[in-house]
Formats: sequence, C-alpha cells, structure tokens
Amino acid sequence: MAKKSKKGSPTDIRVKLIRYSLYHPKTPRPLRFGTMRMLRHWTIHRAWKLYQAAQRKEREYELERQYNKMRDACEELRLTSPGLYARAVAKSIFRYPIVEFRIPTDTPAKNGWNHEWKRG
Amino acid sequence: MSTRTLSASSSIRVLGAARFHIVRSIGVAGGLGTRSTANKSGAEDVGDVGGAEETEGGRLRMRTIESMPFQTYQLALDIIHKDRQENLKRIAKERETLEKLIKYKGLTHNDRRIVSMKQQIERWKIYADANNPRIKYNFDCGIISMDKPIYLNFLNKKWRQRNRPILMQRLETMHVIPDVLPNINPIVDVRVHFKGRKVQPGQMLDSLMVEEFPTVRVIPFKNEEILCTIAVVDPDVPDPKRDKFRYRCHWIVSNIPISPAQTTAVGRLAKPADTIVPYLPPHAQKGVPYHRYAMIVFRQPGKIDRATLEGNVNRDNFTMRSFQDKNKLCPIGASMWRVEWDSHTKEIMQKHGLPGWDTMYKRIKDVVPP
Repeated sequence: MAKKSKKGSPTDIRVKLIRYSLYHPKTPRPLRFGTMRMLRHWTIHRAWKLYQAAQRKEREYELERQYNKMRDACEELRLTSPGLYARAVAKSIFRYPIVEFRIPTDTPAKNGWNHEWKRG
Repeated sequence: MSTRTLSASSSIRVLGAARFHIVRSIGVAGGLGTRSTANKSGAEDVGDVGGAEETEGGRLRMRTIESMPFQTYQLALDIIHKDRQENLKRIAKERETLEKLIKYKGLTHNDRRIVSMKQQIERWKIYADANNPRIKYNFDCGIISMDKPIYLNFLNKKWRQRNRPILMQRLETMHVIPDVLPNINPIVDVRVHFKGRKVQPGQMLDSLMVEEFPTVRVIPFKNEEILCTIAVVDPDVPDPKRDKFRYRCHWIVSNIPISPAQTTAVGRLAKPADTIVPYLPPHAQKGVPYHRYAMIVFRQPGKIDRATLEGNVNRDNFTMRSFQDKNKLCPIGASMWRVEWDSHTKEIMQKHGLPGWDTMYKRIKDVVPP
C-alpha cells in the first residue's frame, strides 16, 4: 500500500472523495451491532441471498424450457416442411423491432384495418 | 404452528462419539423448539415467550435464537428451514443411490464415481447448515464440535481470512519459501507454543524460550486421519570457509496421527510418534544476523519405517527438498520463528555441548575491487 505521500504533493483524488463522503454531515453514523442484532442481520442476509438464488434459478430454468421448446418446434418444422423451415430460420430483413407493427392475435381486431392511417 | 427445529446435526448418520461441551443442547428432530405465537413486544427474556419448553427437570429452557420476535427474522428462519429440508432430502437420496451402486453394481469405495458422490454429499452437508444462526452463534462463542463438517468449514474460512495470509506474507518476506521449499500451499493450521506461549509466524524469540521442543498443534479441516511429519530446519548456519550459509536440521518427528479430534501433534495431549532427529535448541552465534527457523508439516503417504529414515538424515547439510523427495512427503503446513544471539545463548550452547559457543563472527566489509 504506497499511500505515503510527501508533504506538498496532493492527496489521491480517490482518497479525497472517500473522505468527503465518509465525513459529510449528512452521512449516517457507523452502526455498531450487539451480538443478537448482528446474528439477526446475518441470518436475514443469508436468507435473502438464498431467496434471490432460488428466483434466479427459477428464471434460468424457465428460459431453458422456452429455448428447448423453440428448438424442438424448429426441428418439427424442419422435418415437416423444408421450405417453411428455411424461411423461418433465415435472417430477418428487419434489424430492430418495428413500433408500428400490429401484434399477432388469435382473433381479428374489432375495428378492422385503418385505411386512413398516416405516419407522424 | 409448524414444529420446526434448527438442529446442528447435518448428518443423518451419527458421526463419531466426540461429545462436545455446549451451553444449550442442540436437538435432533424430536419436537424441540415449538413455535408458539410470537411475543411482538420484542422482549427476549420474558418467561413464556415462544420457544420456552419443559425439560425433564421441569425447568423452562429459552431458545432465544429460534424464537426472537422480529418478523423479517422469522421469515428468514422459514426460508432457511425450507432450504435445509431440501438439502437433507438431496443428501438422503444421494446416499441411497450410493448404497445401491455399491450393492448392485459392485463398485468399491475407491471408485471415482463413489468418491465424487461422497465429496458432493460433504458439500451438501455444509450447505444444509451454513445458514443456521445457532451454529453461527456457537462458532462465534467458541462452542465448536470438531466432528461436524460445518464447524470445520467455519474454522477453515476464518483461518484463510486472516492467519493464513499473514503466514504466507511472513514466509515470503523472510524468504523462507524460496530458501527452504520452492513453494508451499498451507492446508492446515499450524500453531506453535514455546513454554506455553503462542508464537506468531516470524516472531523473534528468546534463546531460553526455545531451549525445549515446542507444543505443536496441527488443525486439519477435513474429517480424515492422516500421518504427519514435522521437520524444523535452520537455513542460516554460517560457513565462513566457503563464505556461505548452510542448512541444519533441528528436529524431525514422524508418524504423527492427526485428525480433527486429535489436533495436538507434539505435546502433552499428543499420541506417541517417532522422533527421528531429537530436538536441538536453536542457537545463533554472536555477530551473526538472526537465524530463521522454518517448521514444515508434511503429510505422509503411509507409515514410514523409523530405521530407514534415521539412517538417511544428515543433520548438517540437510536439504528439505531432498528429504521431501526421498520420502514422498507432501507439505501441508508451515510456521517459522527467528532467534538472535542474546545473553542466554552462551549458557545454553555450553549446556548442550554445542561447538562454537566461544566464537564471535565479525562482518568483513565488502572490498571493492580496484
């Protein structure tokens, strides 16, 4: 730790910033916990980490299931219809999702097609 | 109200008979620590707060840690308890598969698959207990049961956080590591006590203190029994004829049984072991800079025959590297201290009949060639 500076040379800006935030009047004072308080803190921290890890794992599994289903569907399509498969797998001409596109739905819209729509 | 215990036993099969001294007895699943309606006022030592229960003697026993009436804390305990149950189920299932493999497929205990399954079970045992506040409290208070893997895990973490880096720093700063051994990876905690006093690695010691052999404690963090060898070498013996320093061996003890239950290697509570080279008191002659003394703890592959070892070891010109190679030893721990010439060195050298008690060295300043 080469923190020793000669008299006259300026202190490291990082040290200055740490001291500024540490001794700022609005910074809360350092907490000192008793044994039971510390134990509760530790337990709650461990439980929260466990909970977060479980959530993360659940998300990962869901993504994995989705990916597997997509892969299986593509495989089915490949075996069923090579033409459709080629079109499905080909790179899209669209680089970014287009905001004005209508979302695919199961049933047709109530208002039908808007022939008067203009951009802007 | 669910009956839920936070018990310290992470193994379903009882490990060993080592009873440990505890303040509160930690129960295995048996209906202890019933949760009743928590007292929301926050008082922890009020008589009937949930968790107090009758023992055989009729006394009320408080289980403060399990019953502290803080909502987030109790929710945390729930989560931890659920996680623990899952872990225990996993361990039980794995144990079943292990037994079936051994029984029906005829795999032996040395098989790669069995070994890796056992290692995984050990890891899960630690996961099951790692979040238990009672175990954390026990460890912080010093109530440690050396046959439970979770306490060994805590000890290991604590050692690796502070004392092991200090040891490595001292070994490297004093250049013991390139001199005595090329590199070392300490796995066990080695504690040296001379005349009852603890010795910090690299500490400068008095000649009187190091006159007799020390009590050495070797604390392994895995629950297995190993045989150890301790060797103490002095790499700073001056050799004025060749203008160099020599190595000298001060002490070798072999075939020491070490396990988490048996941590004293040499001393009052140690099991009998073979002293290959009897202890020679460290002595630094006057005028010489301080001598470093390195103690290396090796792990032996098996029991070593005492006679062969005694014949091979030469006290002067002793090289740790060749000692290690010849006997196929693996270094697992180290410690070191330093000794200087002081007012008692002369008496000690005379008492033990060590040559050179009347020699004083004087440094010849380096002569710059013309």
